[in-house]
Amino acid sequence: MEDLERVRERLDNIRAVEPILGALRTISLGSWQAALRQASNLRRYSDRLLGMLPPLLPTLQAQGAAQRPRRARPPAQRVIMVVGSERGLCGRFNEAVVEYAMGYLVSQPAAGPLELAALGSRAARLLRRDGHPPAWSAPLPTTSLPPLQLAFELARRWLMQYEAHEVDAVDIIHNHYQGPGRYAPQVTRLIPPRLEAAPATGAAWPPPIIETDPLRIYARIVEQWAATGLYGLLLDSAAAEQSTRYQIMDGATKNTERLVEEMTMAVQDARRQEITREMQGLAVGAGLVGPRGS
Amino acid sequence: MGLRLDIVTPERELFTGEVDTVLVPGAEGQLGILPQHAPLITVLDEGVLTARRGAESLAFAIHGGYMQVLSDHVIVLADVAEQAEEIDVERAEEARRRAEELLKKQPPPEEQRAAMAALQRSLVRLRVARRQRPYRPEREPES
Repeated sequence: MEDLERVRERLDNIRAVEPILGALRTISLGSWQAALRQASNLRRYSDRLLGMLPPLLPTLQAQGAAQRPRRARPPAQRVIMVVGSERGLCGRFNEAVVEYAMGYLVSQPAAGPLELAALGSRAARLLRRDGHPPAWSAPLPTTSLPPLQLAFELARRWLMQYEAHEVDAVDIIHNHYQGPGRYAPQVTRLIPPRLEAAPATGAAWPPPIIETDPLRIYARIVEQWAATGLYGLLLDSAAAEQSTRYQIMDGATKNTERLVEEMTMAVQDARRQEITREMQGLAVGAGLVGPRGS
Repeated sequence: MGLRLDIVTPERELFTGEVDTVLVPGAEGQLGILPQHAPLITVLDEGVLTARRGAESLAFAIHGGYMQVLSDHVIVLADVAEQAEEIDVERAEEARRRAEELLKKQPPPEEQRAAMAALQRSLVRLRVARRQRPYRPEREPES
């Protein structure tokens, strides 16, 4: 009797959790697909952005503006930003990226100061726990994708610092999406930006009219390239996080369904036994059944 | 022979299709692009991009970006772009009113720049929205 009550209680608890798991699974699936879709749109934009360089570069080279060498100076600060997640329920997602970051930090030459930063509260917390508190950290949205604005603000700030020789390089460490539930941490050098002009398409003649100052266009393309590059990494990380969470939630939902089924059967079985016992009691009380052979 | 127009932002491909003419808000002023236009690269300002396709006129709010004209192909890489149907007129009107009120108070230069940008954005949105549907500005209730 006591067992039956306990099983019923457990069953109620599991049934209460079931819709939450289902909702989390659906949200993760939606966010995962949205991140992949957005990343694909971003690639199309970036390809076209690079497509603007071939006609622009000859003019810039003629002006001696592009590829200006940086004058030798004492090493400035290097920024390493770790991209994690805001929420848990994604397995070792944050541990993996933070462990990789720790290894990367150790492997870096001692020249110049390092600034460690983090996106996502979970990663920031793990860095603090491991004795590497980030100089600054920022949260990421919990249900929606990272905002493009965030990428623009960070890229703009770092490019300005780079131009002012305050920052030499910016490295982004994130979990690279490799397929459903699969990811691997990697480091990407965001700044200085390395733009590789796409091969020229279509007729190159006559040379294009370049309205506005070509250097101004180039500077904007560099800024846009850095910002969209960072945004691409944030989307890649979001796809890895959400696909991992989806796999975990999917597993948990299936496990819950199996438990509910097993427990429902156990409750029904116990109930049947209880009814049988009660009927036996009634039959004995009515004298319908008695000891064998009487 | 028409022009192929692509309007792309970092977040989406807003429009792709054949049009007859394109009028864009270039950083140096309005630019009209017809078929057989010479190759061109320019920075775009905040403004309304208008494309004509036969008798149809299409309007888009463009909030900065670039334009590249190739042989009969116009690529607009906008920072942000919106179609008329996507614009929430009430919200744009509210943003305009807020920005104007802030500017009246003569805020510090940084806030003033932000308010000017917000005002410009909302005005462009309202202009695009007005092109596509009848627009009635909100009036003070008559007493």
